[in-house]
Amino acid sequence: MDKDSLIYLDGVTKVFVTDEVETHALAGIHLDIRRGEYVSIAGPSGCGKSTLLAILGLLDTPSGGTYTLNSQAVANIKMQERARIRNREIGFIFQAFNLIGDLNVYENVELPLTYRGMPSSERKKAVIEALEKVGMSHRLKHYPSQLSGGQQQRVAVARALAGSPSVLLADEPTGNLDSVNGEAVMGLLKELHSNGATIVMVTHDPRYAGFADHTIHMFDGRIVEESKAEESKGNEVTH
Amino acid sequence: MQSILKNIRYGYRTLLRNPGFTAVAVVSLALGIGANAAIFSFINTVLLRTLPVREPGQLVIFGEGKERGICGGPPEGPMEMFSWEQYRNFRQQNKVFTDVLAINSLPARLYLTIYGEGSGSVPQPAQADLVSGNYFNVLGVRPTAGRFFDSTADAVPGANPYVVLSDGYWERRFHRSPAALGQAVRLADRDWTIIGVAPRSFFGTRIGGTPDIWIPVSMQDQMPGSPGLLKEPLMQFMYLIGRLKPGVSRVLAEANVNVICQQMLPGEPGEENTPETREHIRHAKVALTPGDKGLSGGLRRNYETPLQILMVVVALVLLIACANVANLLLALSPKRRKEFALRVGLGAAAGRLIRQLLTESLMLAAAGGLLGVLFASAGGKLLVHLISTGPRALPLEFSLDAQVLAFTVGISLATGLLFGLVPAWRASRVDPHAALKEGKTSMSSPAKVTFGRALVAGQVALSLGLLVTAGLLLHSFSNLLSIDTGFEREHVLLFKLDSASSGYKADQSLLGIYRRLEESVSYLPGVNAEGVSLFSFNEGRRRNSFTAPGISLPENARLSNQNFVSNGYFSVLHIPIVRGRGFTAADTAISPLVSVVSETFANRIFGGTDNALGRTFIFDGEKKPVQIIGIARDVKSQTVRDADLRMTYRSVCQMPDYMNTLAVRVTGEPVQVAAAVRQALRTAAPDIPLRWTTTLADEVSDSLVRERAVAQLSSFFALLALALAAIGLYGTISFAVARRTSEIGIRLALGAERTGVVGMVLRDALLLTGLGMLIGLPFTWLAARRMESMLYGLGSFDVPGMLWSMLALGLVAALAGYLPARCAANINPMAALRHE
Repeated sequence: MDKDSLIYLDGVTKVFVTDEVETHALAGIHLDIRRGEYVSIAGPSGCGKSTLLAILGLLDTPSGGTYTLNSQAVANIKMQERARIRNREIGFIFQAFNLIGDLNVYENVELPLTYRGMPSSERKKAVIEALEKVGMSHRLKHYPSQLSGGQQQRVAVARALAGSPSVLLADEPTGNLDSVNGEAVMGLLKELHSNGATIVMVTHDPRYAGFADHTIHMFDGRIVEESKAEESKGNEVTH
Repeated sequence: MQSILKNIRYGYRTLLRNPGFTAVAVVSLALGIGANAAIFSFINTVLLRTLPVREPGQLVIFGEGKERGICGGPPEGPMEMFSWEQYRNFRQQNKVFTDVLAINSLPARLYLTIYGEGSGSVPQPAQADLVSGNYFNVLGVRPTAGRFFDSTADAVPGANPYVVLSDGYWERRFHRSPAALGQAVRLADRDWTIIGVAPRSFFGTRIGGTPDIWIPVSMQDQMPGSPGLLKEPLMQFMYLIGRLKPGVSRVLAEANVNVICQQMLPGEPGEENTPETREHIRHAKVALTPGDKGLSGGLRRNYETPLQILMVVVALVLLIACANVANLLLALSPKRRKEFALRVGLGAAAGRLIRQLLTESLMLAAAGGLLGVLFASAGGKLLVHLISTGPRALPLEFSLDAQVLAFTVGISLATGLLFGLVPAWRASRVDPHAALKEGKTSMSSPAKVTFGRALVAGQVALSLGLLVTAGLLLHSFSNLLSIDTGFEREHVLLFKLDSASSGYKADQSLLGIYRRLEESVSYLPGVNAEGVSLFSFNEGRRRNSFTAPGISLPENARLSNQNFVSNGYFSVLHIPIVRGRGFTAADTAISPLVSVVSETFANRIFGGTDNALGRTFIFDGEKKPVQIIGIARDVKSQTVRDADLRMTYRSVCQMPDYMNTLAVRVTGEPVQVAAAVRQALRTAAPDIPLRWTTTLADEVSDSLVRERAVAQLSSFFALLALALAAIGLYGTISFAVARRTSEIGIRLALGAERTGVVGMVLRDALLLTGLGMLIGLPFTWLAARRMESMLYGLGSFDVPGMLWSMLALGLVAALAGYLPARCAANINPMAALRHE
């Protein structure tokens, strides 16, 4: 593991057992993501990319292997500590935006900072900054139902950004958007990356995968290919 | 019709598809409907049911049937009871009734022996109504078997030893044998003949007490211990009921009756022609009251308000149950939203959707109603049994007659409409486009949640009201129980004797029996003191008027309660003699007449206990003066609320009479000594029937049967309401958690801790409960104020009671909220986010 590694997976497996049937969602994933990197995970439906993202985001635990985040082994830590790490180190962007309907834009973005116990004045500053970054600071009092899909996703990005996490995890962030809004959100992520953010994005759209520095292709729970942005074709790698 | 059947079929399938929902809804409704059916049945028995006789609307009661016992001379107020002579006069002279019947105001407790072999030959108690010969004829009742006696039975007093059996008694003692007719039985020390059986539906004319047998009132003087009432024109002991002639109004009949009354009373033989008597006669009046619902005695008066309160209580319970089901239907509606949208999309009109959903609601209500009847039947009997301890059973019964069934069907239908209408209306307003599209990004819909939450807040408000009022009634009952009665009620056994049925004359031989009884128990281990008395607590009273030489007293001050007791009575009850002495062996039939009087009597009549000692007074109807030898502490003799504490005690040794009670003070638990005392009494005087055994503490408690019943029933229903509200709260919070699964998942993904999620859901439940309590407080206070007259020793604003109720409600709410809160905390964020 490199000292610059932010995320390091070594032989991570995930097995789901239902009705005595074992499904190997992830089969020995090795992955090393450095700070400031923009990685996309691509692959067909059911290949395990969302499961991988859930493990990266500490929303799920691996069945085997080790996961080191920010030099800390996180595979077997307690629930409470996982919640703390999710809150401070990770920012989520979901395909379905996942804004809370009863909270307005400001409150949605403020939510993770509230869990952190941040004082109100600091929260306010961070929220406004995040919303300004995504161009939504003029819609503070709006409710999600009053926003377009693209605007909702920008608010979701602001929420992910507001706590200054170590890494942004984006699960099909353009999946529910039309092409114009999709492009806009991708542009936003690119901009964040250029300002130093580490981003891991799941997508099945090759157009958007190209926005990343580095794309890993998955199939049947394995990484079957890795490609860099400057490479016209990825080199097949074996893990 | 076809569409209705289709709706029913579909509704049936829908309900079966959601067994959890259906079960909770049906049970909730059944509890609510059952409680209403049970209380309505009580109300029907006491307040609504008409007599099962021909044209009950034509019957009128002379007076209200409030007083009972024996009254000598015209009363100060309206006439309630009448003598044999007065009855005959009214019957003969009136022009407004087809006929008038009479019934002894007090039922007689007799011992009936069936001649022949088997268990029948053992004397068994039988409650008898003594009625005029024309009783059944006037009522228009036909016998099930045999015949009834008729007006010829009134012709010659003492010559009509005929018995009519009630259907229940015929079944219990004669196993419905036709051979019972014409059979001779032993009753009140002579032979009688059974001549007929009354129909099963006929419960007599007295509400709350079906007699076992009817016998002619012309046999009154043959009853044990009877003072010869038929011969005394002034002894008023009967209720009269007249059947109005067709076209005669009650007002007209009343005028006619009062004319007869004014003509009759002045000429009555034996009445002293004093100015007071003349004044009483001048004001004597008979008010005719409707007789279609029979004679209630104090039953209607005593139970009307409590039953009305209980009816309100169970109506609120039903309302809570309805809110529960409405909430469950609302919780179910998101699951069915697509179905409704599809139906609308396929062309279903809003009315059709409403009909479909109302059919389902009515099916639920019907199932709840059916189960509710079963609950009411089993629960009603159980409730009455639980609260009717002791010999004075609560005169309420659950009977599932046509009226109760009609009521149950009615409230089931109303219930179905009540809880079904709003969810049906909301479902009919579904936007098919939005509903069919939704699923990707569902936002919570505040309106739906708000309505459900409003229902829960309402449930909490109602539950608070019920809990607080039940708490007030329990607190009041507890206050009544702890009232100082003036005697020590603990460790005293009471043996109820039927000395009048023994065949002994009320003379010195009877005194010998009492001495034998007292001696037989005095040697038993654990017995400290014993004594007989005419009355024990709450057993009735005898009021006599008297004059005190040299003292001028107004009419109403010349009355005193009177009890006859043996020498040991004061020691048994621990009633202190505060001045002078109690009765001793020196007080005999040949010694000067003496009396012990209460402090109140001494103070009111003689201006102090010191003044009273040694003074004399003369009871009306007696010639010899009675000297006061002792002053006893005031005691409550009738009820714990008794305000009339004037009491004169006479020695049974000087005035032999039929005593009703042997009181025995024991060491330790009375129940441990009871069997030995009973055995000793049976050995000492086998011919004196022992009616029942109880304790003085139980007698005091039983005297509060009404208060206890209301307190216990309202507590029971308040707890039921609390349970229903808890289910409602649990359902609502669970529903909210289910709706917020994604939101909770998001929160967890963003770093919320699980304890925080538990806190968030619990806070929601408690806030809702708090809101409900806030809404409920003013209504609770108003309800408590309405009940103020029923409370003893506390006001309607009982802060500790209110706080306890709120605490209980808060704890139940916390529990009801905790379970869904735990579920929420265990939500897997991954699964929750996929839920979208």
